[in-house]
Amino acid sequence: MEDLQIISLYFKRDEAAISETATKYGAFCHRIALNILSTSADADECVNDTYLRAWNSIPPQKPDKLGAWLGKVVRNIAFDLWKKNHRQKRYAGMEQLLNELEDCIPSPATVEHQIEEQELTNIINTWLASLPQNDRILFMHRYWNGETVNTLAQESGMSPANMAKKMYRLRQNLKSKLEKEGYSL
Amino acid sequence: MKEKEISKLYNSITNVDNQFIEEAQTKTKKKNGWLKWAAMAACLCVALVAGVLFKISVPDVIIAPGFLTITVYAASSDEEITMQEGIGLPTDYKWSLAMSSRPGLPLKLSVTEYDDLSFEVSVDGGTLLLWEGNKITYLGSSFNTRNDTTVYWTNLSRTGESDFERYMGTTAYINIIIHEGENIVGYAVVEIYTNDLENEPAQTYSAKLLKSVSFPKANGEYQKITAEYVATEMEQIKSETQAGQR
Repeated sequence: MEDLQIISLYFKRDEAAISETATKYGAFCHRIALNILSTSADADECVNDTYLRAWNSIPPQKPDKLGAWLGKVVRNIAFDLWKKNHRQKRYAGMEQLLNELEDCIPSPATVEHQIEEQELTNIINTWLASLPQNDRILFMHRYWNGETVNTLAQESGMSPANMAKKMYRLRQNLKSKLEKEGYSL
Repeated sequence: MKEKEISKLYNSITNVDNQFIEEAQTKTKKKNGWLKWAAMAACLCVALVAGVLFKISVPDVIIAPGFLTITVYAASSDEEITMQEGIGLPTDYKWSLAMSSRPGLPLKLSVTEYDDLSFEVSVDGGTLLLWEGNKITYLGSSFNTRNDTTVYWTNLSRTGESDFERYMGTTAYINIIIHEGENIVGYAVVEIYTNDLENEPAQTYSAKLLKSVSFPKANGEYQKITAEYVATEMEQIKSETQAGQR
């Protein structure tokens, strides 16, 4: 089914929207979540939350590219889940307390914060556009899809060491671009 | 705080332009070997059947060895080296950022057999520049130039009036399409690459003529070669080169 038809189901509040989304983008979403979380059960939870968020957000939102939009949602949810699990597992005591107290702090998503992130995204967009296509795709596979260096090496027919070097170069390249724009991460 | 900054970077990468996300999803990587070969065999069968049934003929393009001469210069002297044409005889030419007195890796483009020639040159990494009378002119990613022009490739990219940044990729390609009047009469692809992974940015680059092709007249007429055809051929050459390097 075409994206526009799926989105139209969301607008009609037809629950078939979820199953059509799952049919078309379920594997894609699951792969991203699994790459980030490494646990199938967590990835499943994350994908289900993504469908829920899609159901709650469309309408009013009407994504131009449904796949990319879902991928962004999956990444956000997966990252939140990873942070939550990471804190609980590694720093059971104090971190758990802080984690709970964090509920008392107003959302960090202030306008200023969003503008900063948007500026950073613009710089990364410019940087990505300046890369040769092969490098850009590799970067996206690694840092957007979350694929491992070994997987990328295998798929590209390169040795893992060479792939790691290539990734290092790309990261240094991005760092240099960010520093030039006044960011020091 | 590091965690906060990393979160910001992660979120910013998440929100990159949709075109990059789609590009990464649609450009699938190497498929399973059997699947690829099965798909190719199926395509071949379909093409053969279609050809037999409908006598489909692919437009014939007559190609000949390239007539473009690309001359490079040694780093510290005026010794000239002519790059060999043809994919079977690639010539490597090294250029060092630190050693050379020139502003970039020099490539002189010349053709002797034709009169009204121009070159449409593009590069997909780094920058090409002209160096005439000690004046350096940075060229766009695509430009037209005349016969007997020396262009210089550099790993600097101009980002503003006086702002530059290093090209950090390990490979770049220079595409040269040769026009006579409005007709395309040949093309060449030059690969610029570095094996210098120790330095950041790399200090030494090599140039290799991957392929040079000409389109001779057929029955006294120019062949109808389209820019799309040439672009496809060039991409094929680059893909084969990249596949061979893996």
